[in-house]
Amino acid sequence: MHEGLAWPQNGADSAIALSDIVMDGLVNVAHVRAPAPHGRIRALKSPTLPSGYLMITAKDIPGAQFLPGLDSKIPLLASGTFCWKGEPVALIVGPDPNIVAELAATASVEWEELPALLDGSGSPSSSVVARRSFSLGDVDEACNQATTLLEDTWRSSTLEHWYSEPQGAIAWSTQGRVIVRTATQWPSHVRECVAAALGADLARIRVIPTLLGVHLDGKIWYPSMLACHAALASRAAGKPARVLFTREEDFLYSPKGARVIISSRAALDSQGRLSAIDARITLDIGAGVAFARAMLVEAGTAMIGAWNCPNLRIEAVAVTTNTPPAGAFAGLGAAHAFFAAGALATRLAEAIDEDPISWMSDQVLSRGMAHPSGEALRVELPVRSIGGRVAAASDFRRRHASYELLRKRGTAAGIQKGIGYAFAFQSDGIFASDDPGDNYSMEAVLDKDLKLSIASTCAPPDGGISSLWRGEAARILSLPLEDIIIIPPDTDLAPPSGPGIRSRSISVSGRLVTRVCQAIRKRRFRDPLPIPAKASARVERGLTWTETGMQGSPFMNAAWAAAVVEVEINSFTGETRPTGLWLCIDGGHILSTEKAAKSLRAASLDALWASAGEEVMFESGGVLHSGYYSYSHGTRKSLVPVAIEFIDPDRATPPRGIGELPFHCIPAAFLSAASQALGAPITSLPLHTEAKLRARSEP
Amino acid sequence: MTASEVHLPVSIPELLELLKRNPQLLLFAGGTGILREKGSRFIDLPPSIALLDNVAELRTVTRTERYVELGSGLRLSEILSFKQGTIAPILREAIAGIANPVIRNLATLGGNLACRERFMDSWSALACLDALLEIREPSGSHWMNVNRLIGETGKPALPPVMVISRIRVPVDSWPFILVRKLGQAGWPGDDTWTFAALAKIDKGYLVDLRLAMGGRCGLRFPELDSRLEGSSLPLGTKEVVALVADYREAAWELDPDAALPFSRMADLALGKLR
Amino acid sequence: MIVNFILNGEDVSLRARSGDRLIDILRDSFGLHAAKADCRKGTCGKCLVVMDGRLVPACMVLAFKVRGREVITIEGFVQTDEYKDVAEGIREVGLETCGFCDAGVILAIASAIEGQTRPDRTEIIEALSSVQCRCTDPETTLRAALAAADAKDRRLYARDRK
Repeated sequence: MHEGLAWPQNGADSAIALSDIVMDGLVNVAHVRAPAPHGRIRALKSPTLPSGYLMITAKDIPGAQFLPGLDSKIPLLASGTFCWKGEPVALIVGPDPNIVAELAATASVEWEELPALLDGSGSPSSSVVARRSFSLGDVDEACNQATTLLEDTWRSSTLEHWYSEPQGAIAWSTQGRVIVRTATQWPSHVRECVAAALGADLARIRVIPTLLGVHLDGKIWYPSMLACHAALASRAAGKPARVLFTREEDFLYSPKGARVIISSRAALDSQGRLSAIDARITLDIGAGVAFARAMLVEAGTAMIGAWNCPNLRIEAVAVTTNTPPAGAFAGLGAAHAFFAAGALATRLAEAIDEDPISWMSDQVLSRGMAHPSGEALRVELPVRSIGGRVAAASDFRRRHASYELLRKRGTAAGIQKGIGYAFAFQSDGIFASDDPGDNYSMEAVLDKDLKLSIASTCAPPDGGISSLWRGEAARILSLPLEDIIIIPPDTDLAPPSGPGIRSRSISVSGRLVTRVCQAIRKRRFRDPLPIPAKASARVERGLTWTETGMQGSPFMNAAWAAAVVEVEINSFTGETRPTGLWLCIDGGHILSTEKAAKSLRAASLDALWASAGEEVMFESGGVLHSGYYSYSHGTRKSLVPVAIEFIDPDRATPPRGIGELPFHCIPAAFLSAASQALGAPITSLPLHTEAKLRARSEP
Repeated sequence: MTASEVHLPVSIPELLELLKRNPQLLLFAGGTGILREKGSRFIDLPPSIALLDNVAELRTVTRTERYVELGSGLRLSEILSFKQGTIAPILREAIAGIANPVIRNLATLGGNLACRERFMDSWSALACLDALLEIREPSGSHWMNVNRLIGETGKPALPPVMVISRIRVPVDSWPFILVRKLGQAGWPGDDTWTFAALAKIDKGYLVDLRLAMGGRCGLRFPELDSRLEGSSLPLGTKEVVALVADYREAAWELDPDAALPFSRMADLALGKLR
Repeated sequence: MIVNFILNGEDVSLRARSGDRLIDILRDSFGLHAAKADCRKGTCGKCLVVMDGRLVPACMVLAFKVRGREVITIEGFVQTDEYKDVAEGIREVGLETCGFCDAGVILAIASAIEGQTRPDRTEIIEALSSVQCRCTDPETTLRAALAAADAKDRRLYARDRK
């Protein structure tokens, strides 16, 4: 057996990393890449290839030329034209990783330039690939009548996922089948793509995921692409083939977290009530990604929020540009709008000298009121309770008032302090019309030795989730933990499932664990062992937003969070130091508050540091190379105290996804805190040193 | 992928002889500066390399009443481990801000100063201290003030073929020191600067003031530094505002992008004396 | 070139190119996979090894720089009493890492507590700053290091009493 096929029993904690797999005769794959953002390929000149080396182009693909199952048309290898600088045009395959890299760099693409769109902010109609719009009441009239009207343009920049391991895949053939190993959030999609690329039956493809680690949704679909490249290379070379990016290569050429621009107008009436929100969201997805429509719907829904606002006009567009693919980042789009929606709410409250937490709680929909979709709320939203708790824990009101006073007095020499608040929700049930991959399955067997095995390709992303599944199964079936085995998400051993996104390994698969175990418990003393059980679920649709309309509620099974962030900004140096972070979560039943708190603490710091300083920069349409060296995903040199409180975590409701909540509410709270510290509205993430220096009055 | 010949000199004369024979020789100490911005799997190196690890003279420390001489091959972490008072606190603070502890376990002070593309973190502290560098060339040796590393365009201007063997750092006492890094936390980039300031105060009067900032260019303006010397403390707001504006102007002349950070930092330093 | 050095207590020798990085030598030539080749710029800390008693990123060490040195990887370090202290600290606070940065985290904690005197929080945080992984929660890692320092104190006290 190859070393890479070993899989530990009982959880994925020690599963092998892709880069650790060693195989005899392995060949390596390097990419020949497009030299410019947009062009027509006239010729592709292969370098002189030593014996044992070969080149693969699009015409060598026996099956489908495009990745299936996605809502963008993404070619495996560009042919005819290329659409972004760095797009794979050909593969160089051979035994030495250094030589294939050198050969790929010397291959030349003869091309003629085509007009390139590098910035989606103008969103010309030809570049709009998806659109969602919604309107309610009369926004223009409400703005005309407004006593307070704020207009802003909000921006968040392109982000690097910086997952635990750079992207890659290994493929080889054995006994008429193709085996693929890759770190993926979506094993079923890898299988589907490799089968399509090779023109082979699904049954001929087996995908055995490797250790995934932290992914921040950067490994949803791109591993499928690289798996196809590895499979094509293996087929051509007749040997196991490996694509393994260096971190630098990954930074330059893998999909990024999309940048967004939101133009907003918001109005308050004479009573200080929110009377209108008018927003245009432009999501720049680069050369195209998976789930663009889902991202658009999540972003639009976040912008609509939970406000009791009679006049709304939301237009959300996804635009393609000739820049690297850019899409999900710690969620499918909600974070891309919550940062602006939350900070905007604080701006509105402060414009009328209201306490932000109280004002926001007063503006939220109450039980019985209708969401803009028309669906009436059946329960009270927990905004007031989480806001109240986090305000008390952080002493928000006193601090907010005193920092305001200090700033107005102008006594804060050098160090300026600010504190900000925001709330947000995470909902699993928000859908575009045709989201792929929302079907999840699980199989379990209680065998004759009273050992339970559970299999699903919606992989538990880490040992923590795996142990939660085992704990739940142990509780229901009264089995010792060591007798519960989580089968690896191998496509031969587990039924196909949708991607491991939106905390679905808890919110959907967690419920499936409960269902299969309950099914076995019912039959346990009635039927002979072994007892198998299967369960599958489509994700429950809460809100569906198609091109023609919106139905349902986004709050079904939603988890809620409120955050307070406190920052110090040295206005001389621009140094930004978060000094406190408080989070209050209402996430239904929390399977393990200890594990949840640890995971939320790490995610909170990632969200905070991304807001404070992470940004992928571009040059001539491609990722700025030197940016790799200056990109820092959070310094660990200062500890930020993070306090997390859960509301009633033991209550008997199904567990909900909470993992993305820090990314939904912390950036907005951070923006508000930074704005207070600098005494000027900050509307762009991340905070740039120059902006901070300029925000201070001239000496 | 060219193969490189690696030399292992054990003395400076031997190293200079190698340099004389091959002016393209790459001097390799900690290597962190050489590997900077090389993220590929394999590193293509020049055909000839001299590894400096075995040159004992580059690792010496000599202390007199007025200064300490640091061998350029001392690792940054070694310098930080010297007992309090061995080196000027401003230099210690600047070195402590470099990269992370494990990089400082490799990087050397000489390597930090020998970067030809930019002024690295230790330079601004040494520039304030008016430290001297011993430059050894095949043709001879001489001492040179670190401020003279600033070329006409503000970029580093090191002699083309040379070895920095020692750094002579004055040990006078400075009651006011300030070191600040600006810009991103990762490897230094275009917007990354290290600012340092020193001031001496005697009987309520400012008797010496030195400001320096290093990054993609080096900034040091002694004629402006001396303008407020002799002024009584606290400094007057009007004088400070005028001086900050002049620092800004001077920095703008050299590099427009440096003007804002330098003037802000000057404002900070002078504000603390105000 | 031929590179001779001591690896985890054993004399080893191999043929390498001057531009090869120590991390690739360890992984490809010796099958030591616990340290990962990741950022290749010395900042992520996933490739940390101990070279002549100092913790260094193996991605920033070229083949010719290793000659005559002593290198200890995490595979060698786990044989030591110092490792037991770190493991105890990690276990005590329930620190869970992603599986990619483990070697770095363990060796960074070990380096934080290796001195004669007990480190304070600031010193530990500084030592841990050599590892940057999205999975690590600095507060829990700090607590693990403090618990490891306690474990070390207990071990040394027990040894001295014997």
